[in-house]
Amino acid sequence: MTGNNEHSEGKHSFMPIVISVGVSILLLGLIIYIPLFVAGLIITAVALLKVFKDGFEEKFSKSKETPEEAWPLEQQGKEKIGVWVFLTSEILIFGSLISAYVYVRLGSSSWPIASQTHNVILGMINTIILLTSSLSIVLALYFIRAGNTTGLKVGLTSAFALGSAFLVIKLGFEWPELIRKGFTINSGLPGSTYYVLTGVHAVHLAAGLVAVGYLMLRAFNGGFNSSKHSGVENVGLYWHFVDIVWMFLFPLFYLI
Amino acid sequence: MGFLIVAGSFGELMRTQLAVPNNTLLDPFQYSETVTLHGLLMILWVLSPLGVGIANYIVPLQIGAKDLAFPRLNATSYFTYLFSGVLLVGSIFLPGGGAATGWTLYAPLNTIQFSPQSGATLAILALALLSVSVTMSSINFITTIVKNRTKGVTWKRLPIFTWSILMTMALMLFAFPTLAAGALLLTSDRIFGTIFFSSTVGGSILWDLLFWFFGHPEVYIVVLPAIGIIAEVFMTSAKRGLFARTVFLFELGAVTFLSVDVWMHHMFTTGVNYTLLQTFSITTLAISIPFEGVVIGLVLTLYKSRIKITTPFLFCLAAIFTVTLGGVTGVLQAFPVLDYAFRGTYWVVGHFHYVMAGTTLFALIGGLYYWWPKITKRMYNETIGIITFIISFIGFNILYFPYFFMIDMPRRVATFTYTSGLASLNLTATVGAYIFGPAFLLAVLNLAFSLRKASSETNANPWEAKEMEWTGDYSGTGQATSTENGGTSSITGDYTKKSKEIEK
Amino acid sequence: MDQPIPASAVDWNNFFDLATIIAIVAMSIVIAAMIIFTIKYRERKGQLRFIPEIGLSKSRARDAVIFAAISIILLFSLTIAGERLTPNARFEPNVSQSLVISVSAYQWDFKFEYPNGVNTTRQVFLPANTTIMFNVTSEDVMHNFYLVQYKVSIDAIPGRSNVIWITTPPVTGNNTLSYQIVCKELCGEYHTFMGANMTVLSLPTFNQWLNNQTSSNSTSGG
Repeated sequence: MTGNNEHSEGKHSFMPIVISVGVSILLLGLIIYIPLFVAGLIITAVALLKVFKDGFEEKFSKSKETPEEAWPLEQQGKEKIGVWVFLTSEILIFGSLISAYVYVRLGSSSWPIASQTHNVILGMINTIILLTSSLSIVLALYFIRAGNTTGLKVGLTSAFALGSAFLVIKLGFEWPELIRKGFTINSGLPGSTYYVLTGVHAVHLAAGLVAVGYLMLRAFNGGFNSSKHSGVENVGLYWHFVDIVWMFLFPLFYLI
Repeated sequence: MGFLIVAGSFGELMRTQLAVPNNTLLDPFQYSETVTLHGLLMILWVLSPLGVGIANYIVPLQIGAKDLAFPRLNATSYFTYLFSGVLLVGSIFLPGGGAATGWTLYAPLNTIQFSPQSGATLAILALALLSVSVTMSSINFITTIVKNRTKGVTWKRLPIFTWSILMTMALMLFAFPTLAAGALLLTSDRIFGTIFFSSTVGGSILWDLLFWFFGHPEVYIVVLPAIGIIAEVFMTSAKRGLFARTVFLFELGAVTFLSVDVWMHHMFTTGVNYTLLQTFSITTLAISIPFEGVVIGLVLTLYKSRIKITTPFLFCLAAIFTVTLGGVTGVLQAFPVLDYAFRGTYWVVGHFHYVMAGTTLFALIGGLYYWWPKITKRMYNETIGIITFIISFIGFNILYFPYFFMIDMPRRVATFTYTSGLASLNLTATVGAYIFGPAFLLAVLNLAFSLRKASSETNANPWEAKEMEWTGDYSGTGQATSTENGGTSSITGDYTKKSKEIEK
Repeated sequence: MDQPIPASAVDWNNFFDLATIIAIVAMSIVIAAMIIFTIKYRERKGQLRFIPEIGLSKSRARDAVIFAAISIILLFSLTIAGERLTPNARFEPNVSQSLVISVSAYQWDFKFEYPNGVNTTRQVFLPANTTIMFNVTSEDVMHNFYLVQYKVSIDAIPGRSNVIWITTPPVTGNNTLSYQIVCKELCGEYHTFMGANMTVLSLPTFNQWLNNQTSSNSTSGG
């Protein structure tokens, strides 16, 4: 229950309602009627695109409120702080899931040997891909700070490509192979934990791809310069986080 | 508010069912559904959101910001909350009914094997959606409080209510992801056929661990804004600053930190290692110390003061009463040996209704009354306010105090026998429910009635409050002799240091 | 019930009373203070006095420390007292000298199995003056096995065997003591009606009953 936005400066977006409705229909449809689920998905996607478009046209970027007391974080923009807070919650959700995995694994009398179940080589390749993609994003930021928009575009595009490659390898090669061998999501706790955890990670990675894609579109549209590029830094933070989670998942599932 | 009415009616329904032995008003499944929905709605969709809703308006005022840091995120958070609640209530209309597991959704009762109805899955998804909404809120509020304070609002001068909201939001950030994780795993069990909660390796204990790691901080999330409100109302009603403000904040912070380390006291009877139980018993007792310090600090704020007795003040007085009573009954449960008997009985129900329904609800309504003139520029009817307060307070106690004598009555039972000797206690409680419910509703409606009057600037600060959200003076411009736009002392930000301001 | 209260419950009651008295005293002080302050310091007509902030000073800090120390001592003593009582329910007695009964909870009854294989449902007969160990588990969902008059309970969790025990009071001759067992964890639709009866018989009577059961090989008790 919240009050009205009586304080805002008169610009109202309808997207919050639409997104909420879309997501709710999506969830409802998941339970009772799959076409409803698809409808919800479409509504949410369209709303998200509208949000992107608004971002493009900078319809909702407000001027900074001055003066401010913001010790000790005066230098950081509010979006950055928001991203850090968000990442904290993400650390906790992955932490809980990983803890659940550890708990059931320690409580199980037997667990399949990692190297025999999973393709460690592919896992290794994926790990390197993610690390490189993080590097690309860092470089992209470095370049745009120096005003080099070409470097920015190259960096973002590489990150996007590498991230996509990760998903292709995982979803296109690893998972089908595992399923073929009978290692499915409900073939027992080893399967369940693997698919749920790597699946949640993959969803986060996909969301990251969407964000990087948005950045790419803006970059190619000339929306960034040496003084205006906070989006790159913030998405970069999120991207590094997704990478770090994988650094935990990889050994937990592939190596031990 | 709508959710309050729905959940409140569920509560009344439950009490009606329990009014007489062997009642057949609700069949056992329906009763369990009612219990589940009453619990979920009240805790997650009413109490916390009311607090956050008040905060949404007041926190920006208190720190001098124009709005929250991310307004569209704010709106999204609100609407996802709204629709998640709609989904939850709607779940009982699906074929097979909704979840009937109690708000704690214990495993393996919550698995598809024992709760095959799709309504239960929808309820879990609604929970997950709420977690998303809450996370968005906490991102928003934390960023706002950190970044959007206007000049003069240093950390030292941050108002108590904003502090309490900040701590609440930090706890939310910490607790809700675990709920989301649990909901995710449970959904995966129910839809994809995984066995996290049906296998005996994970099973009941895994759910217990995940749920209560969320569940205990959750109840502090519910109660912390209430404490903030009580502090604000006391300060203004008593016309003095908070007693030992620094210590108070320190204790509040201690409660916040410790609350994540006490959760296993909900698992005392699960048969886990006794050393674990001892540890958590100690941490639970430990958290009661700063909390009691907080309550004492609030009471001592009234010492040597000048109290103006108003409806908000009365509600907050009641809240202190209920938090003390509820708190000590909670401390008693911290001893495993006592908890073996308490667990799953009406003693526990009494305890948490006192702290949640009593403290939080009373404090929140007190807060609404307190800030109403500021928000709406209208004044409510004080007499009706006081009368409805008295009736609802009496009704509240008639309703919940008997619970402490019903130690032998298990929770979530749809009826009881004549021979159990529980009939008179249950009937008393039901009578109390019929008094408390309507009286409380009237107290709320009293506020709504005031909207029919014209708004007027003279109502803008009827309490002669000195806090920043009332005066608009954020930077603390020294001493002042006028009462309305008084200056703020540089230490508390609240009241002038003038003891020279005179006795007549 | 006009039968003797079991020893474990007597201890429980004493501890409960002690803790409650301390709690009531503490609470009364706080609430009385609150009410007294409200009455004594309420606004009277014509006065507009603003009081300086009573901030953190040495005496306040000292008071806070004293308060914390008192609380810690009180709670600590209560904890120790509680520990002394817990052996009644937690720390395992000598297994060889106890009667071990397997309890299986299921939706929505309790099944009891004796060491010699006799089974009863919804009913358990126990010998007097003996230590009884219950091995509690569940066949389906989580239940709670609560011996009401003994004030001890433990959860019945599928896949887990939790142990709880009591000492039955003495009984002479043909007398019986009846106690109640209820399920305290919501376990489905008929949770309300889930429970069992415990009857304590004198040792000879119990042995006689057990022999009858074994010989007739029945699967349910009285």
